[in-house]
Amino acid sequence: MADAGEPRRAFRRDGDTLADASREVDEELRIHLEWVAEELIAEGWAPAEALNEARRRFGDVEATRSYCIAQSQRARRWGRWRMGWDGWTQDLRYAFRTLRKAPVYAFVVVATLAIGIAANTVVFSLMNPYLFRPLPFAEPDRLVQIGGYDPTEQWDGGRFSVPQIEEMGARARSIDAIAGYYYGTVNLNRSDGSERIEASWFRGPLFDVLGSTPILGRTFSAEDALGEGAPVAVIGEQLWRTRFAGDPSIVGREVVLDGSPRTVIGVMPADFTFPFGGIGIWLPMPAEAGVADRAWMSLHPVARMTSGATREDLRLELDAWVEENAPIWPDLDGRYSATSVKGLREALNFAWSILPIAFSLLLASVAFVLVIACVNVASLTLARAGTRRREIAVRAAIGAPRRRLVGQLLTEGFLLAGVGGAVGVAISWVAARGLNGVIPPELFKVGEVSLDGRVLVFSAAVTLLTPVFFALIPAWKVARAPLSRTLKDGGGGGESATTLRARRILVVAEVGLALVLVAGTGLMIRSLTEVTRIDLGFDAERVLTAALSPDAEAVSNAEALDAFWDEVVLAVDALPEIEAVGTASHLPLNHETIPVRFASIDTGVGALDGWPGAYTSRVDGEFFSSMGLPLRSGRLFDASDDVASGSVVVTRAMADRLFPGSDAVGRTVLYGSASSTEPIRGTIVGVVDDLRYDRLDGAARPHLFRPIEGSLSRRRFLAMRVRGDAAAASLAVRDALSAVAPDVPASLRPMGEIVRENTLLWAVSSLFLGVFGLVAFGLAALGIYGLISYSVAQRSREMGLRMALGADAAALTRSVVAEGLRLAGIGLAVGLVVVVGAGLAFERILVDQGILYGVGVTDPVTLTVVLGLFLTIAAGASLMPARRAAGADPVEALRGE
Amino acid sequence: MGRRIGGGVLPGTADLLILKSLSEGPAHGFGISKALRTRSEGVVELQDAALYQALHRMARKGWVTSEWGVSDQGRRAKFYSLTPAGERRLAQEEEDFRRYIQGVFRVLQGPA
Repeated sequence: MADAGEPRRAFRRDGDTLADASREVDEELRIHLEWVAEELIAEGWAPAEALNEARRRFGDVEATRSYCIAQSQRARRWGRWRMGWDGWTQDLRYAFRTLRKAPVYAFVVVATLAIGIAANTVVFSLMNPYLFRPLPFAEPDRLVQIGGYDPTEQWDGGRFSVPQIEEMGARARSIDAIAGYYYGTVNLNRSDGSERIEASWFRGPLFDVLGSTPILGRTFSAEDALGEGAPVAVIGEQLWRTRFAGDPSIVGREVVLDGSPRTVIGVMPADFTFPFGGIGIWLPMPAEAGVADRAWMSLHPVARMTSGATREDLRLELDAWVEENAPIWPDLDGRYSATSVKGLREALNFAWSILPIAFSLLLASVAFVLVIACVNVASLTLARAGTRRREIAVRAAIGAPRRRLVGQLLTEGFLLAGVGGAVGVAISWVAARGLNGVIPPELFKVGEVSLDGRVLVFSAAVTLLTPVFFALIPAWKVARAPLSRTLKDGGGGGESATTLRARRILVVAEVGLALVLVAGTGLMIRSLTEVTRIDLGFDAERVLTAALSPDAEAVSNAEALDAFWDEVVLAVDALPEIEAVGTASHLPLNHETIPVRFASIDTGVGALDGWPGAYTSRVDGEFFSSMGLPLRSGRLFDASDDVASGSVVVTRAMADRLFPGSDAVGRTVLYGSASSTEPIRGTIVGVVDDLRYDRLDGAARPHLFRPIEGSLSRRRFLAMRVRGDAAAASLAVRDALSAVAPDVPASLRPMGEIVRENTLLWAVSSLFLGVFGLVAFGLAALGIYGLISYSVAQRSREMGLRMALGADAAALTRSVVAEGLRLAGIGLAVGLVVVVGAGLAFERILVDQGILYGVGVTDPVTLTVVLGLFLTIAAGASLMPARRAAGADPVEALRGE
Repeated sequence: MGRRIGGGVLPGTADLLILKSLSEGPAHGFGISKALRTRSEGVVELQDAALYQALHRMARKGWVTSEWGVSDQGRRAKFYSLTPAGERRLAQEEEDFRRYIQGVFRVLQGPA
């Protein structure tokens, strides 16, 4: 580096230091004082006195010195900044000019980066409301939800009763304030029809605990919260805007809920999504609902901790409380062996266990896409740097410092990434809005999926980091390239062997990375197909469901309820579009399960929580036929079976478990909830096929059906087997229902839709991975194409010569395609090792979390298809430039250059 | 930093006087000091401390630039010269001062 010295000295002279400033001021003042002193001596002053006199006449020398130094240093700092800025804007203008001369390069780079940055921005903005955006409550770090840990269910979200929650508040010193809540649905009755809305009931100072204020009116007073005063309600902004047209005088208005009037006292802002989005109304828990009953353990306690207290402190205090009370109330407090104290974000999100995993997978795949995009751009930039070597070498030779040259290449990178980032953010802005519909609103989130400041900061960081990936490699090469050689080369754009090797390595890496993503997509799609192929045990396809819940006022006893439902069933059954109609308390795969323990008389010893587990629901006999759940032996429920009859129908899994190898019909089953002390006796009247009830994957759990006739559950489902067109049937059912029960809102859903909700994890993952896989695949193909056409262009002279010497065009084409396939092959081998290695390392997690279903990470079918796909596209991508080269006129090729 | 300016000049006029004397060409601090005294026949006497403070302040503001050079007498010195921004400033200050002085005179003449 013979020429390194000169630029460095030039650089130092420009940017002189702050110490130089004080030296210069000192010198300037010294010269001035000496000058004055000389004049004084000439006027006749004694030389010894002259300098003192000069200083005296000058004024305050010290103050002036420090003032001047300060001014001069400020000026220098500003000057240095200005110089940097000027240099940078000059680089920017230069970058603009050079890029204008290479519009194709600029377009491809910007488009590639935009896709990479958009993918990352979209995924981050998707994660933001679930994981990062602050909760809309005051000091959210102090808020916790308390759950009981039930060792038999291995479930840590156990609920508590009002007396228990009040005791916790009085007992735990870490608790500042505590309240309890539960949620469900109510009918909102209006003159133009009723509808079912989601509601949350609470006990205690819930709104003070959360620290949230309404946008209109007030929240509950202590008296309201006890449910003792006049009936009141607070509604959500969403409900206020959609159902009450944003009526500004809503406060004080009356609404009718389940047939009884209440006064609206306030409206909560849209971002108050407690306990999750979609809750439209908050109500004090009714006083008669068991506020003094310790056994009514139906509330989730939510507490504000005292400042400084930790969750661990609180948990220890509560564990001590549980331990103390367990022996006193073994059936109640004794149900729990400990407590869990969770932050609200975690506690309120039903999908918390899979969400971070799903998001990390997403983020990992988009990071891959970004890296592939950067690799592609780096490869292109390297190629360009190769052709620009002469220009750069000339500029270096006429004295441009290397630092500036590298800075220029980086500036070009930042410019491209900046434009790419801006385009990417614009794409994400559109995409993010579309995503809000994909994820169900019941997953607790803060605000909508949208681009907020946090997302933009993230995107800006990605955009700024990107050029570091793709522009530094060429910049580094330029900084190292020996000048003389480049100039001597003639610099006709000949690419050095190392550059070409670097590009090959990048393409190999790109193919490998893309393979990982595409293979992941393949596995996800295979899982999705496997999941949709699962035999549910029933035939969901032609079943329409409807949920109805008559107002409490209208059906106060079992007889009135049965009469209501008989009327409804009769009306629907009369429709020609309906083949069969049954009723049920719960539907399979509808995210509601009632667990139960069961045993035969012989095996039913000891506490129930040691017995095997099953789910239970109440149905009528027609439910089985309308769902298409076949009877295996015995009979279905008939008119004689009601709550009091004790008849039950069990699934095959339960029958086999109870009475292996013998007929279960006519025998007795003991069952009850895990916490009950005395089991209920049931007589098995029939055995039906197994069905998927709580989830699609995994083994079918045993199920116990009980008669619905005479039960007190107001909300029931109709399961209707449709004849002919489903949409027409849906309309007919809606008409029939509004004729027979005009005040009762009905929500109609095809059973198939409910089933498909259970495939959401796989469907969404397939969709996302699919999009990213496709992008990565396309980028890799582009990478191969770019490299091969570049190397063919480089070799056009050689090829022309070989053609002129009589080489076979087909053989030439084959050799070029072989080069492309070799690169792809190496990339695929590397990618395969990563897929199999990483796959095996994470297989346990992937399978346990149900992310992969019915397929292993090394699924040969998927891998074969994916490899075949890649080799085909690699051959295609190299064939195009190869054809072009082989078809070229040898004379032209030789003359070129 | 007006506290250092005083004695021989009206407050606020130091910048104007220095810029004016630089408008005839580059000069060092000692030269400016002498020129002001000579030109005003001893009436204007700007203290050297105030002069140098004003020069550095105006250099920071970009009204003047400085450069080391050699004086007529062969002495090394720092020479100050007006920048275009300094010329604009000088015109502005002159105008302001003229208007001020005219106002003062009008007051001194008393009511018409």
